[in-house]
Amino acid sequence: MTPRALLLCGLASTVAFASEAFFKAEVVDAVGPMKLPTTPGDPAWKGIAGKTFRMTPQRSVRLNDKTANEVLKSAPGSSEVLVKAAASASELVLYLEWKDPAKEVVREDESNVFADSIAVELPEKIGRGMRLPAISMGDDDMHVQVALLRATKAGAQLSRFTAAGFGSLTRQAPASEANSSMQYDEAQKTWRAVVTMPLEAGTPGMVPVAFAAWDGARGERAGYKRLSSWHFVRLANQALDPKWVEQMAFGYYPGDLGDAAAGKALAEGVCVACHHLPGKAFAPAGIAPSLEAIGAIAAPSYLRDSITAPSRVILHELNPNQHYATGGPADKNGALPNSDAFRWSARGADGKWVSKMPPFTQFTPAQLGDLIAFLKTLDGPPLEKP
Amino acid sequence: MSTRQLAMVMDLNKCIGCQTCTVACKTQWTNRNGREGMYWNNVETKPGDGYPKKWEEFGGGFDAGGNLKDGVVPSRYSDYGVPWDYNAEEIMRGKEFKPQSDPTVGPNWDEDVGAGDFPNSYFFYLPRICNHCSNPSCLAACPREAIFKRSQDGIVLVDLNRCEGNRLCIAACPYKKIYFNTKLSKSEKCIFCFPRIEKGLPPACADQCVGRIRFVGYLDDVEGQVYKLVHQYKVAIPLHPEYGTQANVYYVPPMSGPRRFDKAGKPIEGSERIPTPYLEHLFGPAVHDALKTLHSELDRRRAGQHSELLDTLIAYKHSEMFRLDKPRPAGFKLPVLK
Repeated sequence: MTPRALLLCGLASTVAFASEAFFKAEVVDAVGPMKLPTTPGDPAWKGIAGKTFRMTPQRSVRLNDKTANEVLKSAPGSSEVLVKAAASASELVLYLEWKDPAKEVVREDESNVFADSIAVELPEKIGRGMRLPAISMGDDDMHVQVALLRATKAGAQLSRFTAAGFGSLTRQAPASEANSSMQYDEAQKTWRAVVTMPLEAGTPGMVPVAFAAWDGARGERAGYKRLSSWHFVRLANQALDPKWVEQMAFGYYPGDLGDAAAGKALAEGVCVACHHLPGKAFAPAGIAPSLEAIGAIAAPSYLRDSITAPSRVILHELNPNQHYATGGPADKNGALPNSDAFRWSARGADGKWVSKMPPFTQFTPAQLGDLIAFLKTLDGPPLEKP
Repeated sequence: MSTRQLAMVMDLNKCIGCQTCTVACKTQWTNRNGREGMYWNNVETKPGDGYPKKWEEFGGGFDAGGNLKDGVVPSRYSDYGVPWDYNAEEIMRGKEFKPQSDPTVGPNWDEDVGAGDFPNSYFFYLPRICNHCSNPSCLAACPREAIFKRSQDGIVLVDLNRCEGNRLCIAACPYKKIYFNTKLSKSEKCIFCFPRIEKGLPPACADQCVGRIRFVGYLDDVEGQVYKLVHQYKVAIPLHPEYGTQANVYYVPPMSGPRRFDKAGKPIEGSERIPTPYLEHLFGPAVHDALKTLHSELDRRRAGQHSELLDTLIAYKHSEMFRLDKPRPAGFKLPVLK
């Protein structure tokens, strides 16, 4: 048993001690069990401590709205969301607070305006041995559940979805609107929302959560959004699985990661063949996810898996029809075939999906640590000044 | 993408701009439930801004390398126009007849304006529906994969259960033929009247066309008029082929019409009223061969010879303009509303 694993044995408090940096950075404590607050205005939130997380404009994939792309070109900053949590045995209530300079709601009179929205994402399966889903709505193996609140004239519209990667978001009916709402504070130019998520029995003491916000005034909707990486809500009075905490907290122990400068040289020599890095956009846009702000949205453990075993995380491209082969051959109806160069995965001989990215197993553990350390520094633009 | 492809050919030499197709479509599909301001079928005057206003400047489609291009979502207020009513009751009491709002744009806003100076002014009509493209850019743009192309006939449809109203399809369609239903918060478009197609009937716009300008059939039906006009004679060509979506509505381009007049008011021999460069701008370089074929077939006919092409375009029998999988039911009559 390694000294680290030894430390992680035993009580939750021991776990917290060993992975202090992780708990400090990524974990918000849920109060409870208690009578759960049901609105953002509930005075109970005042007495609950929260944590602020960073949200960064989505740049992994490019979408096709000219107006929204011009906003992105103006290099908007990152923003923050304050998160508080309360939980009962069966429900998790999240309080979310974020700045938004103007209130935009769903409108029935105009065709090109968009509503402010907030979403919470949770993995469908959690626990020992299970990795985190891809932040962008999950992946083939690790599905997510999403609750979306969209501002309306009357309040907010709640939708619930499941997803397994881009394009797979599927509505779950019926959407219970109980105990999820949002309120705009004109004086503070701030949205406050609560989102209630069901908790399954046997949840291992800690729930991964991720957040995304859309500012309607910037034409944000769909992939035009600001999003966070995976964070965690610690449920009170529940035992933590130390093995799982160790797995999730990779990258926060001394010695996990290495020298970002060395990692930068490595990334700029290897990764740029397919991926974009800040100021290094050589590959055709879309042949692989852009890594410009990957550190803001991907956990170190996810980056490690994606480098050493990319086929463990099958993430399909946004829409395979965005690029076609002009050289043909066209079918009898004149349709040109999709360009394989822009696909991120292909089916192997056994019918299983294989990532286009080869597994980079040639890196030494130190090189891998350097690379992840560098990628974690790509945490998006600085915070936007109000 | 699909096993077969339905297509429509519109002969612009026969379109009189009566908007019967527009009304047929509107009463069938878009006069309710948040679709009131949409025109899945519209007829615009060319040269002109069209509908939505200046739609050709909104971007979308694919670039020469086959990559999806950026586009803009038009505004209901400044590009489509908000539907308005007139004070029909007030005029009975001696009031002036006027709109109840102050519209600044709308479908058919610049009807019959055209271009050129009198006496050499010119225009023609361009009816437009969804092109049910072979490489639809709307389908390529949807991050929800809510748009699909039917395998049996290539009709492009929006799955409203999957549509989340993100409007990236609207930005992507270079023809601006997907519309946003603000009431339902979903995108909607021409469905090529697929419920009618499934019963052996052509789309309502084609069935009602008084000028008999619209042929409907499968592109691979070598006996059909659509195949003959598109592939055999090559006189029917898509609008703005440079948009790169492989559109499946084909147009027989307008022949130049009368000659231009000189300052003395005398016709200039060999002159063209509609400038061919303008037609090339709309229909691409294939327009030259198409016009050449049309003129030479016209000359044959004038010389008393037989022309299969002109006989096809004349469309002697309305019922023969449509070749669908299922034959039109024998003795079919449109139901009469009582």
